[in-house]
Amino acid sequence: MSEILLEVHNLKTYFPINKSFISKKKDFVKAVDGVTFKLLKGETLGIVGESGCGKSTTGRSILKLIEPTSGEIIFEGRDVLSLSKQELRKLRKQMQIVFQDPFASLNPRLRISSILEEALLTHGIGKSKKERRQKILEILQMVGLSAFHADRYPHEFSGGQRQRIGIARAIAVGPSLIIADEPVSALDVSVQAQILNLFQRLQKELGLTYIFIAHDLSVVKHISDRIGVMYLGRMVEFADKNQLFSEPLHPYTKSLMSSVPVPNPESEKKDRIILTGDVPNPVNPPLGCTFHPRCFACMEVCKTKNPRNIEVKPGHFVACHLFEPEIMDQETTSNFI
Amino acid sequence: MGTNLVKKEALLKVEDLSIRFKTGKNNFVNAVSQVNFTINKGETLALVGESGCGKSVTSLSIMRLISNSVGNIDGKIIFNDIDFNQLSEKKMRSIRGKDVSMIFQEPMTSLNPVHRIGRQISEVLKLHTDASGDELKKQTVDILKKVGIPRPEKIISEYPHQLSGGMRQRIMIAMAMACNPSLLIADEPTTALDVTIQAQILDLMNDLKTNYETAILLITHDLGVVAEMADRVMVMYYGQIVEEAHVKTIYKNPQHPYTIGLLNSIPSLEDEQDNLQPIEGNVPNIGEITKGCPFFSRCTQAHSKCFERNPPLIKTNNEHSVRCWLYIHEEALA
Repeated sequence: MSEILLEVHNLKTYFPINKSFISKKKDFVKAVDGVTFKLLKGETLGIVGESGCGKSTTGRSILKLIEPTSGEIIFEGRDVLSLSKQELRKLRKQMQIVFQDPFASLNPRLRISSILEEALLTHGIGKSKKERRQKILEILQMVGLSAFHADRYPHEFSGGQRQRIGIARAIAVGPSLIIADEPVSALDVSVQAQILNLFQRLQKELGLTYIFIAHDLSVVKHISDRIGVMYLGRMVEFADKNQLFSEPLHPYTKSLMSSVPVPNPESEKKDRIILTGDVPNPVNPPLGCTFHPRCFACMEVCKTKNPRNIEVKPGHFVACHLFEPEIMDQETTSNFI
Repeated sequence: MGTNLVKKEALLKVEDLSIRFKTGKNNFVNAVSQVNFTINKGETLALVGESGCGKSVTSLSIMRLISNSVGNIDGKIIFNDIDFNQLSEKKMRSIRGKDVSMIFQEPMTSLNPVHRIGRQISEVLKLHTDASGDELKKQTVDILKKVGIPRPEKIISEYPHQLSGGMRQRIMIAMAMACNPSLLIADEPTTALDVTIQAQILDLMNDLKTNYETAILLITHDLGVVAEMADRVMVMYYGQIVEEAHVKTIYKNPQHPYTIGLLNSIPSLEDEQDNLQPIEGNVPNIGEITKGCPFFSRCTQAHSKCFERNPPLIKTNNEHSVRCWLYIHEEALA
């Protein structure tokens, strides 16, 4: 469990935008701005955040589906960013992705068997057609579909079934890491639970490691071992699941958790922290801590200085000035903690 | 909340509502069948169900927004003793936006992109009140203030694309609330929004409800939102109401296997669960099932009777209705 599978260090992905046509001055959307974490073998790491916080870009940058601007991605001891195209392709056999929209991520003109066979062919799995067919049927069985589904087209399936096919395609090549980018958010609640169970079963059977990206806190809590909370391109808090939910530290995490409606009309009405304003424009993020204009515990230092990552307890990281030792000593802020 | 204290006075009664869509020359599918419900003054009724269960169509038909060329609507929609289906289009238009108004799911697509915000809101006031000129502008700004829009004087001359999703949804609510309607139909009002923004919008809707005694028909699939907003809950499946009860009853003592399954499907933030108990199978498409209880194939407690006949909606006690043979049997014995 303690073996490190993937190490992401100071990952940055900036998208250039030409602000002015004439001056050619370049601006950047800092989609991912300095994300660092370690992923252990066999665990599920959840990444949560609101739309535009960079969680999907982080996932795609790790697979190098989007070219990161800088940083280090070490997968099983190899630096992903320095690999050649051929080497990268070989490595991708180890790391696969499941996309959010099961309606857009399957080629409508291919039968399910061809969609899966393509993955096998790319990575040279199965010597003969017969062998590949056998493998395809096996995989379909594994994700809860039947052999007769193999010769159908994507439009003949419901959303949940299509997501099963997306998962089948990912596990077909025998990866060790699967990045699941909002895999259940397009599904109905009753079907969502089926897919979450499938993810958990496959993890046990195949010893998979997941990075599970989602915006739904209850889903992330259910499936993850450790969770990272992102805001505007930065990982603002990172901790073990139970630690994070019993003791959220970052003001953003706190308000995010209190915003989630609880499906129990008789639960105590919690003191909801309602954030004012919207997520700021990532082209022009606020100076200092990007969260400070919406933060209920904002201090002077937050407006100018970007907080560093502080390990408050073993394995519990938070990027917030409140937890700088010298500030924690002051009594005035202690009621926020 | 607290509806028990207030004397219940029916605001909207929907009786035997059935909606059929034409799929061919002589082919129809029943999108909604035999729906009956009442919304009392100042109450929030939540209509819950998964995609394709007919919840949005029900709300559109209340507003008479489904044209006769695409579907047949049977049944009565009685609002304050007026039957909407008997009204002329002109009369109906004077009610829409004034007495009954609606918020749609997509704040991105339900605002007109080529008109300024101010114009879109004042249009409602122009149609339904006598305000004009400076008075109209003042009222528009007041409404924007009411829904918590910062710098409303500037916003009225901006275009929808300049605003964020949460702001746009506020604008939609501002338009809907402009004439203080007695019924607000909110069709998935927060589905497209982030949780922190969703919390803002739900808060706003609750404020408006308490301050103006607006009744709300809340259509959603999010059981968390329901628990926080609703007084009563109606669960729909395959175009039918399968269960209806007070919100606390639904969560504490759900009776229909579908409702139970839905509640078991959601991961909880509070307790630790090893495994979720999903409902097996998929949501059926409208028109797919022709015989028996539509939930039959996914139900863990189905028996032969369920396959043969669709159960009627019966009351298991005064304020709890359910459509399931399991309870009809018990009734007969008692």
